Amino acid sequence: MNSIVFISLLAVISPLIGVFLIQLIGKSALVDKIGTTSIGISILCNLFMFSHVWGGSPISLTFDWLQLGEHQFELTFQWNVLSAVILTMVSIISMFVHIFSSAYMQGDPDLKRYYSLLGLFTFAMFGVLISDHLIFLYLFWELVGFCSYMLIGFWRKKEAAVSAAKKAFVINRIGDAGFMVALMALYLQFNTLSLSEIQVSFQSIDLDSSLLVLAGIGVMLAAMGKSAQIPFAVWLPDAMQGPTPVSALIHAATMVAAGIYLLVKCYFFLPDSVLLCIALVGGITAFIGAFSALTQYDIKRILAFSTISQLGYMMLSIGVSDPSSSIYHLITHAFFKAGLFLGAGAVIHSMHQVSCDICKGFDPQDIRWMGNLRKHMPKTLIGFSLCLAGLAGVPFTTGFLSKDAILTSVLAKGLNDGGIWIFIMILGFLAAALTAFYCLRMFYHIFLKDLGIANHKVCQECLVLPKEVGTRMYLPVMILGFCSLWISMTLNPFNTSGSWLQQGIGIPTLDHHEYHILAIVLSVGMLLLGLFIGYMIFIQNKAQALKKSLKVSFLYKLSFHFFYLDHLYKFGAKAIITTGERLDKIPHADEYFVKAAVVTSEFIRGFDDKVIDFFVKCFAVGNVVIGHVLAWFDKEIIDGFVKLFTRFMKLLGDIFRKPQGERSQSMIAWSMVLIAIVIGILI
Amino acid sequence: MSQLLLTLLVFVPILGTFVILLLPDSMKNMFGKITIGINSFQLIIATYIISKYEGLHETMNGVLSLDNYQFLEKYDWIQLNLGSFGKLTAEYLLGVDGLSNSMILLAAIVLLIGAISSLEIKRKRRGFYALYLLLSGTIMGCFLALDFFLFYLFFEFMLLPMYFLIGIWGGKNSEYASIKFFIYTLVGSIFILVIMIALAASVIDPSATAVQLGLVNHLDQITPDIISKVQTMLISGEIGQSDYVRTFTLVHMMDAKNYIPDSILSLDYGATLFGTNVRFVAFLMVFIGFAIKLPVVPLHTWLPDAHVEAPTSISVVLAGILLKIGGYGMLRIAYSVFPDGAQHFAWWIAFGGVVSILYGAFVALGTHNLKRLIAYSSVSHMGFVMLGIASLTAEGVSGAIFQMFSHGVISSALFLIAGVLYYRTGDLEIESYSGLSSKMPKYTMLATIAFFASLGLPGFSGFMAELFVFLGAFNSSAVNHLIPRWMTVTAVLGLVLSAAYYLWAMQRIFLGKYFLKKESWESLLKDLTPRELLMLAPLAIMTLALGIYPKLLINLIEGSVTELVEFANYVGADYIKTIIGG
Repeated sequence: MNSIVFISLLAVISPLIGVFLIQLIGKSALVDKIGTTSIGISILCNLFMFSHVWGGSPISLTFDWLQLGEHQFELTFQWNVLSAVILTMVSIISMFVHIFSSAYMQGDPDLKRYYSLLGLFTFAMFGVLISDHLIFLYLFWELVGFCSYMLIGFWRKKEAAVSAAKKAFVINRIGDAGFMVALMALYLQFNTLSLSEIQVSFQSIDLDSSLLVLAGIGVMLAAMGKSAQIPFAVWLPDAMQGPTPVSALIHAATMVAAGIYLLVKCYFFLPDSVLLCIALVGGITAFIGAFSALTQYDIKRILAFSTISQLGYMMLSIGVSDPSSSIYHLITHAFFKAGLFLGAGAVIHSMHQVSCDICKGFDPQDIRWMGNLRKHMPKTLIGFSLCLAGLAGVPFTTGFLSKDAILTSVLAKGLNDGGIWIFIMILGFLAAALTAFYCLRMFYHIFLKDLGIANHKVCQECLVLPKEVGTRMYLPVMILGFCSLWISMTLNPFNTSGSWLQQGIGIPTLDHHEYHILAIVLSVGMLLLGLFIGYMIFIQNKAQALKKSLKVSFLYKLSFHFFYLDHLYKFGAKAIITTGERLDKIPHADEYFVKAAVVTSEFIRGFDDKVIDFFVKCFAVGNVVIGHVLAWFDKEIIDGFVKLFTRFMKLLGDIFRKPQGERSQSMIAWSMVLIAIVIGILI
Repeated sequence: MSQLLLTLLVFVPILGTFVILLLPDSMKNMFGKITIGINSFQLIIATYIISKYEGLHETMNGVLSLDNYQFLEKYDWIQLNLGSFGKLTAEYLLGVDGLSNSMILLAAIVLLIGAISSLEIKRKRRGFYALYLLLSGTIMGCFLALDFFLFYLFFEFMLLPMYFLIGIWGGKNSEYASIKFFIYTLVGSIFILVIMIALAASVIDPSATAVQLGLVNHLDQITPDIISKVQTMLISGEIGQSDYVRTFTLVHMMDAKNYIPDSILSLDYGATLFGTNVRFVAFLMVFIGFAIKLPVVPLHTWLPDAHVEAPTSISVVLAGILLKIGGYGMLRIAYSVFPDGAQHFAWWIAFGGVVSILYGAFVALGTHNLKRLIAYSSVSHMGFVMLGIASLTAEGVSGAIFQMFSHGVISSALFLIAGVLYYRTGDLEIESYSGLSSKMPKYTMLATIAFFASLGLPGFSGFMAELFVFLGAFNSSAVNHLIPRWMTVTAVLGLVLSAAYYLWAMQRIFLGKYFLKKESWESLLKDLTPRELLMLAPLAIMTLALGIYPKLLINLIEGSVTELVEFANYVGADYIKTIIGG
């Protein structure tokens, strides 16, 4: 047991150790190797853990953390099949992204920060997956968001990237506030925040349904933030401002799936009303995401909207009480979407080298400038198209299998329960058709049509034909592409509920055998419909008039501006900030109060100056006057007396001296007489 | 020696004040070093006290009984013979329990960092350091005093140096700010003073009264039996008025049996003021006195002004520790002496907390001055303290104390961050800078840490505090029915707003294209000096450590908090029954 605990912890901590090493060593030549190695160790450990828990019992690790009042907080980390599967997926994709980055990010001056953040992100993501205690889940949950913030805004001088980062964090915070409410409600209800303990007491105690609904809505909001559901999805397209490998790792494969993972973990206590909300949100997101992807030109934005749409499917699946298919889609989507993003990164990388300075307005991410890359980048083409097939849900791909598993459950729910579920079902199927359409559109623009830049008058003059990227870039795409083939999940390409993954995860699946065939027929029908329309418009170049009139229609604008959600948020933010500014400037009542006090004190000081000083002055002046008077008195009167007295004495002396003449003896005699007289008087 | 520790903590700095005043001018350069030395000494003693504090010992939790306080120092101080009204005594009474221990440590840390930061002061150093040391001593005194009169003395004496420190060494408009600060705090003090006098007129010290009555010869012979005998005699009116020994000791004020029958604040008096029982009014007055200090919207407006005008080190002390005296005073005095009022007004207190959280955050979003932004974020964070205290649950009150400590650490760091810019350019308008990250990478990193810590990113102490407050406040709806659920849920919005204003400020100052309002700043804006790093790094480490392992702090405070919470819940409910019933 001890060695297993050690390995499981090593798997999680290894990326963090990598981060410390990167920070300590810090030589830019080494950072990518350290990062990759640390993730490599994680993969090995995670695979070992995976084989250990597969079919065996889950492993958990408990630490004593805190005692507060009568409540004990014990930290539990848990490895079960579900978390082990996702852990392995995350570490593999993180590995590919590290390898891809080592080529893609070459020459960036800030590689130390880049790889530190990638490692920190991977660690935090592992933390989310193994935390059983909701406080720690929340902790890692926000840490993941923090890494996402730092990585979206990785190029700090790029204003758009910086605001996108802020937007992502703040909008995620709305979801996190919901998470906090869920924590409060669960704590009140169960007196603990350990999910496994909650699960145990869930069956045994009387429950307050209003608290459960509150907790459910809270968790749902949290998932909606992280997993970019309508109306919180606005941050994800903007997040594409970050480096492309980051988008592949965080904003396609792993972090955005954390919301789904949370909901699956909390599925057991979600009340029906909350499930309906989740299904509704998921269905709408799946549709609107796909609808908005139709009209985008930025390759990464198209992929971002497709991510939103696919995440919507996962939500929808939970809403129709089929969390197992949701996880299935989460895994398959992670692989093909990471492949697509890395493929897009490769395309952008080589488009960067196509143009020159005189070519104004060139955007290496704009699919209109691309084209004919099937000839120039054949190896990327293989990986990219396999992944794209997965996204579109073409049979013989994993994407087809998992999406069909979801659609089967959605169909069953819609047909069984009717009402609003039918609406949700229609949204789900329509989104499938739209997905097929925009996949074809993207494929056509990137690989089939003529190179867009070659048709530009100015730019074609300095055109350098795009080149295939290096091994470190196309190989990950290719491998991810092959992972998207059905064979990686099940032998039978049409067996949507029999993959090893669904059977092993241990979440009971609803088996809708009776709807199985119907769902396949419908979803393939939708796929063909989407592909057919795309084929007519792009390849056959039919329906030009329709295309033109659509381009100026409101629907087009709605799609292009993502239903104006962004405008709504901007409006809200502006209102809040203006309120804040007004509040800051309101002259507070107390200002008058304080000013009055100041004025009073000044008045008193004035009083001090004028009145009291006056008296003081009077007093002083009086003193001086009296002093002068006294001085005069002193001089004239007292002095006068003294003088008078001395004159008198002198006179007396003269009188007595005269008769003495020069004779001193008689002088002595007179003196003696005088003294005798004085003594006589005194006696 | 250990009998003197607390006295040293308070009076060594005050002694230092006189030393600095008496030193000759030729030693001008030593003033700062002396101050840092004395504050380091305070920190050493505070750390020693924390390390010796027994947090998990059931009979050492303080709060209710003097015997349970640790490091207690008790001496006779003032004894006034009032003739037929008995005797009035105030004691020199210092002690530590779970409510105050963390605050002592925080005060020592913040004061030392403030002292290091004040090396930037160039004008009238003698006066500055003398006042700073006076402040250092009186702040400690506030947290240690267990006698209301002694507390009040320290509380008032703290006001004086603060007024001059802001007024003389502050910015352009500092006279206005310091007067505002003075008026607000003084009004609060007057409220507290009135209630203090009323309490002294109502409460007797049973042991001293026993001596006075001749039941025992000496205080050493007091047993619980004798105390309860005196209390029975008091209730039955057997003690003559001239034998009352009136007291300011807080612990005696917490026991209803020590109240003289039919005195103004006794439970059975039943008089009303403005249609409310006098005891409730008394609670409210003490509470408002401390709420001004905390501060709570709408009594907060002195804070942003004071912060904007105060020099960096004084801002650090003001936000880091002075505000906490408000929260501490609520727990130590308002809630302990009037648990009935605490329950009676819990709804309004929680409401005030929620309003502070949201209002502060709104204004922080709208302001354009970095220091003002941090000041309003302080208002918002102190709202959490109010909410936590109002909940009267172990989680909520622990969360409130945790928030006070955490905010002390984080806001000190934030004001130092603002001070870095102010010291270099003298301008704190957010729009004057942009893209500093390329020029000052270390500064950007520490600012990022401070901002994220303050916005409550998990892993930093602020998050743990907010989490506990939320859990406690929400639990209160079921445990003691004091706070409705919607209120706590509304408060959660604060999380979103705080992220918004910090990240927006972050974006405007540190990210984007490099830009300075004046070109001459180019040469001034150098990255952090070792001294600045020395101040900021420990704060960053502390908030991280507490965020991951909150047990470090919780273990110190938990016992006393539980005791206070139980007291306030059960005894408070009993009091209310008596009051309403009578």
